[in-house]
Amino acid sequence: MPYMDLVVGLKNTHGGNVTVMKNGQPVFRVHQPGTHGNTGSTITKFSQHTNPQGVSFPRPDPKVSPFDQSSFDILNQAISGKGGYSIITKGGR
Amino acid sequence: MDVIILGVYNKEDICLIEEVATINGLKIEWKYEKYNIEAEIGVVELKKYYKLYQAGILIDDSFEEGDTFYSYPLINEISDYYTATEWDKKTCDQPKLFNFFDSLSRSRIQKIIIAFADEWDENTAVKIEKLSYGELKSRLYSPFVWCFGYRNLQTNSEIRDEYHPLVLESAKEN
Repeated sequence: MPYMDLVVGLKNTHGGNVTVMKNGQPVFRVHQPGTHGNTGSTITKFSQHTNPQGVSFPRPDPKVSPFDQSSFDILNQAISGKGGYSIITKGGR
Repeated sequence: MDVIILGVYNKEDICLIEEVATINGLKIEWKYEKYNIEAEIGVVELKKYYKLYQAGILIDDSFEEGDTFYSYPLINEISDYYTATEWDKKTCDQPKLFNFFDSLSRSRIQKIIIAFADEWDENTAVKIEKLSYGELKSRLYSPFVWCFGYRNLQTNSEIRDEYHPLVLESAKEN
């Protein structure tokens, strides 16, 4: 279960769930396996919206998605600071 | 993942608040522990702090076992309502949570705790506000609903900060 190992390990090393960022914007947030009634790990993706003043704001999608191979690949890039991705925990830590 | 926590002060209010939820297409899960929510530690602290009789999680009544257990769809509905009404100048139905607040105003429940949280552990500090039932809708009428937004000046974007749970000490109008 390499997905779960990575997600659980990151929570332990970072003191909380991580969010993958790109260009200062959240891409997705990672949730631990077994939380909120789900069996495996999940992610909350963010969609970009723009208000009438031209300020963009990301909103979490109303449905969570499974943590899949694509999420795994992006998270690994974020951990190593590749592809313009990075990770933060809550409060921007 | 966001949850809406309802805290009641006595046994009678459990029945009353369930009734308010049901007539608005919502339900309250009092046995939320089985879902392993990310705010579970916080709910325990909330119950202790306010000496609550019971606390439960407010969810849409369309929830079925196997679905993700959280309240975010109710929160997202307000965000959609705000953007449609304020920015797109559309007319749309009031969100379920706002209908719930309207019914709460007409109920016999004297006071209640309504908390919004994402992750909540023993190190998390919360924002506390006192509001009458009639003030709840205007407090939450924003794109980020319960969260504050913070501007990134470099990218001119606003980030939703869900780090600090919001605890609303709500009561009937005097």
